[in-house]
Amino acid sequence: MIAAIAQREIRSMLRSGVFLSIAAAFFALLAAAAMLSVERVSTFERERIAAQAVDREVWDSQGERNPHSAAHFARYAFKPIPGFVAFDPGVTDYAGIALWMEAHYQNPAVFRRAEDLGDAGRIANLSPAWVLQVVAPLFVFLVLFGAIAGERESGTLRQTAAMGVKPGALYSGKLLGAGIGLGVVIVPSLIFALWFSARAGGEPFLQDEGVRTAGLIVSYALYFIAVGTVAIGVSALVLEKRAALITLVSIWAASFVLAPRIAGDVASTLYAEPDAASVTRQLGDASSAFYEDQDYRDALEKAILEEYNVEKTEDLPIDYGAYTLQRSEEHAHPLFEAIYARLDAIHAKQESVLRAASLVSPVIALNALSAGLAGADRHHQKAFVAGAEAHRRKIVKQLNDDFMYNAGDAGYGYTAGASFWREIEDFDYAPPRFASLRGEYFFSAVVLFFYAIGGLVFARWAVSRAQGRIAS
Amino acid sequence: MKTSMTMALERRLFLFAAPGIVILGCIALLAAYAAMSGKSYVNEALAGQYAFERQANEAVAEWRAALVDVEASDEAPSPYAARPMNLRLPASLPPASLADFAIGGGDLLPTTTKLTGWSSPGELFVGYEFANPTTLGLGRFDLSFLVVVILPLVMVAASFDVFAGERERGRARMIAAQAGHVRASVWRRLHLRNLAIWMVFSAITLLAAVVGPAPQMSGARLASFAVWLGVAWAYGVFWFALIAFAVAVARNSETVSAVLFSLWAIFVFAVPAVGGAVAEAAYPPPSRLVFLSEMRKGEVEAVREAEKLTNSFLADHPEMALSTEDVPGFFRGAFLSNREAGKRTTPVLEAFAESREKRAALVGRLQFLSPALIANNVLVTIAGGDVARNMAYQEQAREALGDLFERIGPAVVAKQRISVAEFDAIPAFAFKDRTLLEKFQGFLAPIGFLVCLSIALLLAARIRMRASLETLL
Repeated sequence: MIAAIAQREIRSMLRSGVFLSIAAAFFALLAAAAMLSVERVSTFERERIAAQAVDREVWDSQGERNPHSAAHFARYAFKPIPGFVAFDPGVTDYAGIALWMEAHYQNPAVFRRAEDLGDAGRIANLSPAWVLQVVAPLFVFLVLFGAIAGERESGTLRQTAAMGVKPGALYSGKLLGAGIGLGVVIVPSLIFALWFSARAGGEPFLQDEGVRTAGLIVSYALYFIAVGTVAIGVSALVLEKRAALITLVSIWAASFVLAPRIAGDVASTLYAEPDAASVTRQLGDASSAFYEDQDYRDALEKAILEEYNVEKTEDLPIDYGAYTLQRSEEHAHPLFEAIYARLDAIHAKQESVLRAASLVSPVIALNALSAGLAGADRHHQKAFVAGAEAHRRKIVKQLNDDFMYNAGDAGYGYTAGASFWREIEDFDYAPPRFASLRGEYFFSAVVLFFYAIGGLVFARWAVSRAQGRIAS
Repeated sequence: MKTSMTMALERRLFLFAAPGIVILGCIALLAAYAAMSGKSYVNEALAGQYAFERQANEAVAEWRAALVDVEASDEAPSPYAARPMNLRLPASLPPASLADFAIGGGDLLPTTTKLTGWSSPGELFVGYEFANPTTLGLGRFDLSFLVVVILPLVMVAASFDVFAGERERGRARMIAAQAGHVRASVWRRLHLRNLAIWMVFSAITLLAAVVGPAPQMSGARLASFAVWLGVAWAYGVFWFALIAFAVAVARNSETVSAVLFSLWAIFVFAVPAVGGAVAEAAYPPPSRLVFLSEMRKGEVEAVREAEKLTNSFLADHPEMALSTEDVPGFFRGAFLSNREAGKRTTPVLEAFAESREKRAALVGRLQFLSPALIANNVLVTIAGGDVARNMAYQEQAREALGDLFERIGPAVVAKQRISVAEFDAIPAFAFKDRTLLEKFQGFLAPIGFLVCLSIALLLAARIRMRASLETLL
């Protein structure tokens, strides 16, 4: 009986002009999104590789120069983009892609691509993930709103009840039919989008692409189970097809379109970030704190003179100016860390609002999980920034040390040349493994899982109720 | 059916019934929230800007006082005192008078900078990217978003079954039997439901305009609000016309709702998303990384050729002679390097502007496919949250930096100072915004198109509703 119900469901879907036309539009939109996204990400990667090469060339060819002057010129860290970004761009367009690793200052990552997108870019951004997360649920709702309500209106629900079809069989048949009918459209779309986007960006970059691919497939599967079962449940719960349609479209608009936007706005309003100018000022203060603290500098001087057992800084075997430059760097490190930690704490609080909102909007949970699995969320951005800062500290120390140990009496007149510049390594970034960040996504994964389970239970209950009412 | 009877029916079915109360309540709540969120955003932006300006102006005043001392004193000053390189002039973009109605790109783009010889034109706007990219990506919920995205949906939900629903329930025949026709009843009910939605929304936006963020109500704000609300209503009329057309043409409420919701999704999401992606693919912005590379090449070249550049600069300014003061060499080096980087990056910046204009032109053509895009572009621009306004600010700030370079350059390279009189002649940065009329003129064609489309749809609906009762029922 289950197979017969499923067969009938699939047949009626395939005969429906609405289903076929919506499925065709969905495929076309997804294919366009995938192609445009892949082209975009491939271009980003080509630009990054070229910029990295130029940065190396410019650095090596800067000529004879004082190493500290070179530390001010410094190097740039460029963020590599994993191919999965073509599938789900996550925060890629809203986070900086290059970081200036200059002396004395921990800069934020700059050049956010969203700044070039124009006004329309803030309404919607086309990507395969957006099509699957936002458009696909509408497609599912438009196909399934009549799943039970239509049977009720046409009288077949009464007939199946009279034939002794158990609610469980009806539910399983409907679920199987919907799963196969919609799966024929959605599963190949998801696999195509993942496979196609993984080709973007050249070399494989994420070390655990297999785990991430599996995670993405499972996440989207849970999401569509939740969406499909809600559609069947609502269709069973309301009396008319018209009411089912309006209820499902209202759920889609409220939960899938409005809720993420409002949640983001509430998060930004409740936990407002300090304005950029004040953060810049704090970073400036942290950068110059060493030079403002005369007592600290006096103590430092006393300590180094004692260590080398000399009377004057001029008698030190190292360049004292370079020594203070390096100590000023080290003095600023915890101050920078504190400023960025405060910002990070605000961002974490903002995201806790989003997590809470995911309880009423599964797309928020999927959004967080999908962007994380694609290596395109804030946590991956943080890892890039942390890696670049570690590299900044390393190369600035290397430059200051060269100045300190090799300047002799030349002081700031000391210069280094091309052979030393070549010793300064490029920034080599490996994104974190997903497993190392799993704690960040646990809540979203659990929420999505319970949406799927809750959807299955809700649909089962609603179908039983519908049949019970018909029978009575 | 008489007006009083329609009103009685509507009171029972919509105004005092659960669907109407829920819809109007949601609109009121969402509009109030959007207004408060916009106000809070603008107040925070203003507070940040006041603090920035105050701190920057205090530093400039200190710098000027040091310069006055240098001029007044016969003693040799500290080599660092009142150096023109250490002059940092604030340049801010104030929030537009109606900024709380459309945040637009305001949360993404820079609104403050300091004009100084230490910055090249390409580096003038860097280092402000501290916001959470996750929330930035989700965007803000402001009144313009409410108008463009939510109100049409609510109008559809409130109106899709005013005729087909009555026909399905058999009430339409009863009305026709009493009044001889159904069109008046359908039109009245459509008007009533949609007017109720728009009156609630307009009342709250009017309140938001009056109780706006500091500075309080001004003539400019009032004028911008009037135009903004007028455009919002024009967009509302388009949706009203579209709903009326669908209601008049489609036989059952399921079809009416499916068609209207699909059109909503296409106009509001599909066209802007696809249009934006196509525009980016057709006119990709020049690489910011290429821009960076050019800037760094210019800087390093200037460092390598500092002596040559100094001599060439001084040859252009024979009135200046090299001072013997012990000024660190990197002052002059940094200035020349920034000037050189500025020269090199000018073509890239121009290419950015050109590609932005081409994309905007393409989106301008594509907006005729989506009334939502038209409404979004006009509402955000009138409110002053548009990207173009910020780009104009960035361009004006770069021009002001160029002017500052001209004024301080000779003194910096010659290791001298500028005079107090020369400093006082430097104009304070003030952003020159487009007038409301200039902004509106750019949108005459799309708004005209929207109005014509609305009229055509209304006429078509009217003609259809005049069909015989047999056809309609």
